Amino acid sequence: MVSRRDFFLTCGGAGCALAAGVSAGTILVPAKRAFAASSPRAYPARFWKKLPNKRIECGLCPKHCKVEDRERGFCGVRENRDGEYMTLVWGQPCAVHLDPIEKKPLFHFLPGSRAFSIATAGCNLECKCCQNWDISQSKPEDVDFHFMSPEDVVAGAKEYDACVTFTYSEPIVFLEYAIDTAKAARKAGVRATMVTGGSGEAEPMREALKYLDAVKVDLKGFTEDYYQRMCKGKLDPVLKTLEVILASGVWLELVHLCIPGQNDSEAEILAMCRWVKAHLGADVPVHFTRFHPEYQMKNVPPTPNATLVRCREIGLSEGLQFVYTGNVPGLAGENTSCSKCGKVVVVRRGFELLDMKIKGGRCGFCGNAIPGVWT
Amino acid sequence: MDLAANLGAVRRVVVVAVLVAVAAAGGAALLAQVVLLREILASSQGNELVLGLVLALWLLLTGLASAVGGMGPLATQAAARRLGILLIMAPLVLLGSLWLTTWAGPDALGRVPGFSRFAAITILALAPACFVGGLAFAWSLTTLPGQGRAAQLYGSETLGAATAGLLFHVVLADRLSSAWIMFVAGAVCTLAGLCLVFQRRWFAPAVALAVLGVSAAVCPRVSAALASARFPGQQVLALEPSRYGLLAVVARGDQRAFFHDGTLQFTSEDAWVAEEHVHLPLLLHPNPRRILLVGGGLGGGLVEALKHKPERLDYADMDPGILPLARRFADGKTRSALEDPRVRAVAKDARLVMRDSPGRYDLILLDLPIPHNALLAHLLSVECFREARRALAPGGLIALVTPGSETQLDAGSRQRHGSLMASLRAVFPAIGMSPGSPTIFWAGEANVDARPGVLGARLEERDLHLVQVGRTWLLDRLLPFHVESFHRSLDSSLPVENHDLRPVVYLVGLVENLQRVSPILARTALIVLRSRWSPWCVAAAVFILAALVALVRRGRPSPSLAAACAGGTGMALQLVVLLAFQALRGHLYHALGGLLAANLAGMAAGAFAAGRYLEQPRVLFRACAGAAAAAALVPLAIVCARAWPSTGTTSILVVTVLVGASTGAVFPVAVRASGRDGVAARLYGWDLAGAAFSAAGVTLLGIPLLGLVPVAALAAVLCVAASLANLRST
Repeated sequence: MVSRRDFFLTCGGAGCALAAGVSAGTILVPAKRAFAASSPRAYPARFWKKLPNKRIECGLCPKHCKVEDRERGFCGVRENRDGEYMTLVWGQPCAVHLDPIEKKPLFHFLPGSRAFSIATAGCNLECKCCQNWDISQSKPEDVDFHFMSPEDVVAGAKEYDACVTFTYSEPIVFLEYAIDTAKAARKAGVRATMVTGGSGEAEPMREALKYLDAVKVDLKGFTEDYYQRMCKGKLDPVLKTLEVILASGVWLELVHLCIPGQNDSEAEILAMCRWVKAHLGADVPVHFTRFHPEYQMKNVPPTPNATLVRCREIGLSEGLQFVYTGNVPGLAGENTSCSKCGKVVVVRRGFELLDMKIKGGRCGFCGNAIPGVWT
Repeated sequence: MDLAANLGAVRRVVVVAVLVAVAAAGGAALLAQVVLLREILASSQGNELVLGLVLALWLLLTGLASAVGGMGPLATQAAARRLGILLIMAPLVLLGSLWLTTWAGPDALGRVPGFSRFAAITILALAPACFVGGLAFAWSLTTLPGQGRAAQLYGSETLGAATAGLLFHVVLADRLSSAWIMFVAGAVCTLAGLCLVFQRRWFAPAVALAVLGVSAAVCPRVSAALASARFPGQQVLALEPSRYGLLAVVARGDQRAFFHDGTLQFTSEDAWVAEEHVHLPLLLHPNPRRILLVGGGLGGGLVEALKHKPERLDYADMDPGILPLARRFADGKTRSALEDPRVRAVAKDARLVMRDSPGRYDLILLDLPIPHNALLAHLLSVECFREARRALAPGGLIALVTPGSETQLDAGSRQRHGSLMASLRAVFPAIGMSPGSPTIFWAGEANVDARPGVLGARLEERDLHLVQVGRTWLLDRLLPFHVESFHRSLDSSLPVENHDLRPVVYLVGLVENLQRVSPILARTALIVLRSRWSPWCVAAAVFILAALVALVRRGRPSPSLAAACAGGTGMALQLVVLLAFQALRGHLYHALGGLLAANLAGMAAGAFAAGRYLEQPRVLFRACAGAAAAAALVPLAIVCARAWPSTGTTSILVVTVLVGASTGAVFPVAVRASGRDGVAARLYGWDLAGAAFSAAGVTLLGIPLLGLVPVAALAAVLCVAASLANLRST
């Protein structure tokens, strides 16, 4: 019979042998992270202030992270190094792609044009339904990235006759890079746009807005509970950002991703539409888009088409002039109609522009001004 | 004399009653195990590795209950009374166990609980049912003491379990819901328990009736609770167990969403999504006349594929339950497409369709989720692609459509996509890809012209007026810099080929978990295990180590080591057989009861047969050697099952019985070889401990790292070590 002592001795010996073998293997194998590309470079960040004991307070977004030395903020891409705040994503986009502008979606901004879209890792929110979670919820060292200076980005946009768009993850967390690139784009005569969740502080946003030509903001929900529960964020700062953008004169469009059972109640949609009309005006386009299962919500069915149609009806009934449905090509609500004569002036199918009857920013039928950037 | 005869008769009645009671408890435990396994499997989106964890927990909890039941002095009459009361209450306990599995369901956002919460809930859910089985065995041992009785009780328990397993497979699985199966199991226990106590407790029949009545009333509520736990806050139109899992149709407004084991498959409003999945692959072929579509058809893929006007469109969906549901709940266009004379929809494994159709198809389109279990992985393996290659006509193409990312894949997804690419490369000389959401791979004998201009021209030639797919879409999907960047990222992920018997999905899951602990360890695991021979090197190393240990110990017989090895080997092989069955046949969800019953029947037969050879010399060595020999047959049976599908299921069943018999024979032999009284319970504990640790080790490390066949070889190695350690046993 095996005694307890023998049993434990045998197990212990086997365990030590296994540990020794694994340790030897790990020492011999090159010490590289399993899936990382290379180490990101650090550049000085802006919009922060020093605190005692080498701590800093970030001022980029409402979270106002107070960061210890060698620690990072919530977004994971800005790091305190010896009392100096550094961004780890300047010039290092991990996503570079060419999209139709309608995909952002920006329907009243240069229809039919292309968007040279870039993004870095990181985000200052954590939305459970994030469509780009692969990069937004990653650290810079966990993704493959390219080194692209602002001039490289602008050159890429020019090659494809596209505007530069900061999108996919959250441009607020790479705002320094976005501002420098937008400046370079403005200098080269290339337009710049941004797709953002809008959870940023006013001062950095105003700085960026000086060089942007259009912004699309995700108004994810219209209750603080939704923002807290689903995004780890807050609603109020987003509403303030919307007012800042409107005041700057930069073209603004809104998107609301309708998630079944979470933010698609009629009461919430009604409240949102009334606020938009009262604070932003009836001419700001609003898109109600279909949710697609993703990230932590892979088993929630997509938004029913009837919900999108109903949301659009609510928006139009509250006096909003340009209300669209999105992510369902062929569904009513893709085209732009003149608010005066009611005729369809822009025909779209999915992300494709089929026809446009706008001349000089005016309806081709009745001459009414159609808000937007058309040339 | 009359008194002695009467006492003898009463004694015999008690013995029979206890044997029947323990058989009922064994049967109930098996049924509960199968039902709870199926529920937990469905809650974990069909990941088969939970089988090992559940079985490990089951054994540990049963062993704990058995140990608790055997503690302290207890008179035989008291033990009999307790046994009777326990069995009378069994229906309520089993239904309670089932109800507790609702806590393992997804939350309102469809997310399954994290591992630690899932494990805690599993323990809570299993505990009541395990305690019924464990306490019943312990109290029955107390009721009928004696070395010979232990073997009888063990045999009776396993016989009851084997019978119940067979009954489940043949009758219950297709006819009753989980709640009613638990009720049936509990009701049999109640009757058996009543036989033990009704003579001493006049109110026992009334109590038994009350328990049965309450349980029957509670059954529908438990069923409803299970349904609503899976889909909180949603309207469930249909919830049906099929051979492959749990199918559900959920409504929100006019939209119908179809689920399999809690995983969303498609909805009735996915038409434009189907465009993005189907048309690019179809445009890659200049003239696709005969098409095989696997998956995705019922979400709009059939409708879109028919727009290319093929002569014949075969649609294969393995699950026979899905086509009737689609005919009831899918959108009108899909229902019409199913009636199209060009469409032949079959509820059949696509690999069998391909095997029966050499040289037939111009295009084989696999529109599947990224595999998260062996069931899906076997449709995306090197072996599957070889069969697809034989089924392709000259100039034919295979295309895989899988979920992807518009921006960049995360590490785990990159590994999975890399595995798909590596598996295709192992079979086809020419491969192309289009990254994005979805990601599309294609492969064939020669490179195809995938220029956007060419594909756009085919769009017009075929007169296709699509909502989403057009020239702009094709341009964006096939941007060269995007394709090159994607290709590089897949190559850098150290991709591992996916094989039927070494599903890479398990390895990727393990590496993802290792990555959180130590990225260096994760990378080491990938580098070492990319080689096909590395699992065999590991097995050889373990064999040498085990042989050395065994030879050092050969002078000292070790029944406890033999019992632990037998338990560990039996469990390891059982898991290998179950997962191999799933990988090769796919309908483990339906066959689980039968396979467990076959194993238990083997164990009962082995225990019974061993009783006749207890006096043979070196019997313990022979028993362990027999177990090693049976273990060595498992890889052979699995290879036969893969090569000859028609006889494969039989060979798996036969070897399951043999493994059960050989490992079941070791326990009574070990008891005999110990030469002491009162060690049966302790050796049973060693057996259970060996099995539990083996289940956990095989599930968490063995199968993900090494694959199924090397793990079976390792199990044989353990038995060889145990037999060598008992070479000089008497």
